[in-house]
Amino acid sequence: MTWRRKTLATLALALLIGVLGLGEYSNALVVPPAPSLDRPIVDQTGTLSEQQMSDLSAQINTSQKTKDYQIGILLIPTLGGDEYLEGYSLKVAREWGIGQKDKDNGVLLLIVKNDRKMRIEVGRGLEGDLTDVESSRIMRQVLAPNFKQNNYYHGITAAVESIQAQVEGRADPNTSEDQASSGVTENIFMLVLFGIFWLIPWMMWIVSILARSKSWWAGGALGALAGGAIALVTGGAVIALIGWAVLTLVGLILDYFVSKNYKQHLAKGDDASWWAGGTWGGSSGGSWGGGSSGGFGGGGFGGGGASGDW
Amino acid sequence: MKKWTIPAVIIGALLLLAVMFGGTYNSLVQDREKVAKSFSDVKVQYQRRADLIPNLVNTVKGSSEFEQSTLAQVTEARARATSINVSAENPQQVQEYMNAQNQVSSSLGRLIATVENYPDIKSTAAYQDLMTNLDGTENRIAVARGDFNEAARPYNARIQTFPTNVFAGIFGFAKYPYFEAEAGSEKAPTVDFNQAQ
Repeated sequence: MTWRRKTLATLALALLIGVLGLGEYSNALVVPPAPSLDRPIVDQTGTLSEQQMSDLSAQINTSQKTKDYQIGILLIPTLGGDEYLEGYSLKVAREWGIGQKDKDNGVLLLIVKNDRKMRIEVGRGLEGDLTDVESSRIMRQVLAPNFKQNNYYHGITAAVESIQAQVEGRADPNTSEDQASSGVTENIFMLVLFGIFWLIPWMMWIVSILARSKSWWAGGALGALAGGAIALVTGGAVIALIGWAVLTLVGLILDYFVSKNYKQHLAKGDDASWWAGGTWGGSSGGSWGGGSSGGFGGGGFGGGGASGDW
Repeated sequence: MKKWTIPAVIIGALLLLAVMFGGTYNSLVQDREKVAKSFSDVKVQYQRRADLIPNLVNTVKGSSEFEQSTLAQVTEARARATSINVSAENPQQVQEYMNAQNQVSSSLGRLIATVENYPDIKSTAAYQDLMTNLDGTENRIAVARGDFNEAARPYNARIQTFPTNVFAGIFGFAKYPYFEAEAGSEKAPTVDFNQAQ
């Protein structure tokens, strides 16, 4: 039974190295354990009272119920010397895995109280709804003025309200829309950018349905439908007919390939390739995927959002 | 009967080997795809930055007698960077691509520093929004570069470790070059709006 003793020794060694390794990392700022979805707030500064935390949780939870996206809030006293705001924020967002795994629809509001720095980290799936510019505006117009007067709780609730308004496509009750003054070309540009980032998830969604559906013809039918719609709108006979045929063919081919890819990956037990309706952002914080623990869903982050100070 | 045993064993062994090789090959291809995908994420973010530049140039150009050479440098650097075709496995191309992107970064840095002297540009909402977008894009670039390195590391280790390295050598699976962290590049540049007001 010497092998068993050897295994034990190896395990002990591994454990030792693990512990030593951990000791080495203790200098860096640790990411606190992810909170539960019911109470997605961690306050290490003692700023918010128990009552305020539950009120804020309730406010956040209404959005989780209506539109199914997830918001997390973290207050820490300081970043220390080893961390910078964007790096730490991404680490927290990914380790907590805010947002659903397949939608990457999480938002983290990080407040570093004594450093007077803050960041809104936006999941890949929400980058179109809550753009960097809007995140920045929420911080400048909602958070910063309140924080300057030490109205932390009021600032945070208002910011959550603004985030919810942006994501749910309502008018923001807290910020004056100074967009109108920013010029027509700017607006068109933002609209196009927004359109592209908004369209991509929808296309991914359609593709993922095609991939998962048993049919090989649905894509063709969809293409035919789209082609027909274009033909109806444009009214041009020849071009519309060609477009219709091409779209039908493209739809068929697309469906064939994505279905094939999906089946292959399904057999292997992992996600389909990103172009075939799998996850797009390689989310590493998937450890909360179980769902039963009531934590965040494992959404992916790609560095979207904005930073600010007060 | 007996004379078929040896050929059967040989064929069986060959089949087994083929299946193993096929499996290794397929998983290597899949791993390589993953790394290639994260490289294309990096390119997407650099392109996103390149897409912001014409707008930035227009915003700045619209206002008074701005230094034309600074603007020309940004436009030139952008044109050069967007014209480069790059494949992630080719260290030379990656180097060339990175040099071009660094040129864009430094010319943009000069442009932004120059704008500091023009409060009438700096205080416009259009310029501030552009800066926010630029900040966000620089941050996404840094994240995408980090993610690429994270994806390339296990792949590189795998194709250099026995026995996969023999196989990788035969089929030409090459090591991916990493993105070097430049001094200060891990920090996304931030714009101080407080001074603008």
